[in-house]
Amino acid sequence: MIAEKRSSLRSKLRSIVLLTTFAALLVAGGAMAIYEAQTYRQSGLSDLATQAEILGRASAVALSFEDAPSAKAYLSYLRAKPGISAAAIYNAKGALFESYTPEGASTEIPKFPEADGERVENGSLVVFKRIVNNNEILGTVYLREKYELWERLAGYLAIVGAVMVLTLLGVVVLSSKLHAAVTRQLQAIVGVAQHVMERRDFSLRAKKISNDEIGYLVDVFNDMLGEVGRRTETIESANAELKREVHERRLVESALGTTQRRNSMLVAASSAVVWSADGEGRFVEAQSSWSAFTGQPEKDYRALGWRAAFHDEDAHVLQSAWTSATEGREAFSRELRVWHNDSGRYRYVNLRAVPMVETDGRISEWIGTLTDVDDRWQAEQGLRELNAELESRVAARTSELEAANKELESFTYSVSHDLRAPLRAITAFSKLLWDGHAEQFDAEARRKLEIIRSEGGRMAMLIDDLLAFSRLGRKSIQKVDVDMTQLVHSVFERLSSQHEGPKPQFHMAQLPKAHADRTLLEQVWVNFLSNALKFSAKREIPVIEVGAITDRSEHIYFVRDNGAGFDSRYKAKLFGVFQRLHTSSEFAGTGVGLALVHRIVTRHGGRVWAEGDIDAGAMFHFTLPIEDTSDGRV
Amino acid sequence: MRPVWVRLLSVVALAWFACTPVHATPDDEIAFGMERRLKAAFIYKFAQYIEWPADAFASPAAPLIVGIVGADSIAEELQAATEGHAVKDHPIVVQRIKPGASIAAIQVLFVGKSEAARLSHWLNAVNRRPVLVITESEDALEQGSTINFTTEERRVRFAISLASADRNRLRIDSRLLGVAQRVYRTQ
Repeated sequence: MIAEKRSSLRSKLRSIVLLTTFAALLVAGGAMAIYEAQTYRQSGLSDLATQAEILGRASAVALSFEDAPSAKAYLSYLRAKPGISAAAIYNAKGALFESYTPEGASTEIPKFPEADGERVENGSLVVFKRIVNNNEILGTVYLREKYELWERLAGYLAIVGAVMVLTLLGVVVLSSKLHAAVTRQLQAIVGVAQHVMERRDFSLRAKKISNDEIGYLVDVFNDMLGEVGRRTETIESANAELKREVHERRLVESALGTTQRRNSMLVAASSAVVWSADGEGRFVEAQSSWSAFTGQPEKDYRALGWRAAFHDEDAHVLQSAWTSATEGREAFSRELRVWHNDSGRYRYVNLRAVPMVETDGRISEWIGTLTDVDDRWQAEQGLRELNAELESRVAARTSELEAANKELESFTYSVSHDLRAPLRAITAFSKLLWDGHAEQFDAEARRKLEIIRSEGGRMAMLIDDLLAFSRLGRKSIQKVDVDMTQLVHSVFERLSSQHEGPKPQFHMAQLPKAHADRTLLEQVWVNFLSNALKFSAKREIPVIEVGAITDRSEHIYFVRDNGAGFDSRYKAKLFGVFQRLHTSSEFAGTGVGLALVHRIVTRHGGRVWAEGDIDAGAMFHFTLPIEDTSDGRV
Repeated sequence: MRPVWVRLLSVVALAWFACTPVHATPDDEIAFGMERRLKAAFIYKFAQYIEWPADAFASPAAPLIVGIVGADSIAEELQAATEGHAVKDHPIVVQRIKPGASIAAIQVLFVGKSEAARLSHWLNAVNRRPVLVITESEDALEQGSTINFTTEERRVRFAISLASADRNRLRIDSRLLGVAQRVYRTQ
């Protein structure tokens, strides 16, 4: 089939070349024949006319001098040209002067000359030519020549025919060689194409021999093979992929079937309520667990009827939750009240709904659960109520306490204040009595009077301390930077100068500066240091140490002495008002000082505590928070 | 031009009638007349085939003077035939030369039969000047004539002496030599 086509292509090419060449030769030959005929006629006539002219000129003298033999001799030269069939010279009168016919020919000579001219007549060229010399007509030359157009053309056409035959033969030989050059390339392509068809081997390539259009065809063919190969490969791999995917899908489908069966069994077996709805939230399938919980028959919960099972007050909560979940395509859960058929009341449940969102964003289905959280809800509710009650009770108690505190303070203040007037009267009159009547009393009376006076003085001190303490509750704190080292030093100097008894050893480290109310802080140190002096006074060598430790958030100042100490069981009581661990006969004091210290330190945001044991000395600590004073913040 | 042609044709026709054997008549008178006309025509035609040296003419348009001695009839015929004719721009003038007259200015001298005896005299008068001497007597060429008419089978022919032409510095067209009955190259 292919070979047949190939040979037909070759023969077509050959026919094209041959026909083209033949047509070209035919046209060229025909044109040349026509041209030749024309030329032959023209040149024949023109030659003959020229010959007549020459003959005329040559025989002019002969005519002039009536020399017939001479004219005959001229005419006889025409023998050299066999084509001449007749020739004649006529004189000026038009009479035949001399004539010529080749031997063996019997051509008739015209009796009279005709006008000047050339023409073709009966297969002959005929020329009449006047002989003119020196403006005189001497006679006429007549020439007749055989006009062998057809013989001439026949010879010419024979040559053209021979040339055509030779050319066509050459063309056949040449074209078969050239065709070989063309068809070799095509054969290569066809061969490769056959192999590709038979073996489906797209790696084969046709060999490129030439750089012409067929060479380009080879390139294109090869490219096409490459492309087909690649495509085939792609298709095959896609097929394999598809097969794999189909297989996987089958597996997934069977797994899905299993899962679905398991799910439906699970739902049926579960005591919890599981429900499903369509994309718009309508119940479209039988919901056995829903029905069991709410007591709604199927006709009631169908479509949106299921919502009627919820408490009226929760309807809008459900609606808004559902709407926002639909818009956001996300799951939601709400605690709502739903009718519980068995208990005959609404119970709190956790309603949970999950949308199944398709790839196009559409919600195809909702799946949800109801979980009974009523018991927990009830417990939480009790707890909430209890807490609220407790809080309100605490608040009430606190305000009661605050009011009592206030009342107490104002009472204390007013008592202290009001007590001073009668006390002053007592002490003043006691003094008057002592001053004016002392010698009138006996010793016993004077002793008792002395007691009245000293107790009156003590009471005045007590009242002053109480006033100071209660005033502290009202006073605002003016914080400044305080050089604690310097403050402690001055306080100790002042106190020790008034102190009676052995001179104590006093050790003080460098103390960190504090940011506090200087006056109040001075009172703290006065209290601590006077206590230390007081309780260590009975030692042979009293030792008082003051120091400080600074940690990240606060300065911890301390005062330590080697005095009487205290029973550590009662250290919590140390800082109460009028709390005394020693009798005032042992150690003087009102019992207000440490309460005052406690109040001052607490108001500065610090803490105060004491360590010690009986006869083992005491150590008092107080802290002040580290405040950044550089930028003035408080 | 046409009238010249017509006249010339008539001369030629006459000459043709005169010399055609078919139409020849035994009548001597007639034959004689025709012979004179023919010779007159020939004299005129000879001039067309002769080339004179440049000094033969006073100017390029100077007349070509044909002197006729001892042949009045020919002079008449020639006069009539060449009236208004020219040879190479030289108008033809025919002069009848009387015995003893000067032939200094002529280019052609025809010496008739009647003056044949005094030919040598005329040739001496020419004295190698460029003059075409035409005669019609026997032995004229030997004496020094250039062209001499003869009669052959009752037809007018002529012979030429190239030596004489050379002597008189005349060049004769070879075509004329071709139709001459005889051409003498040496004396």
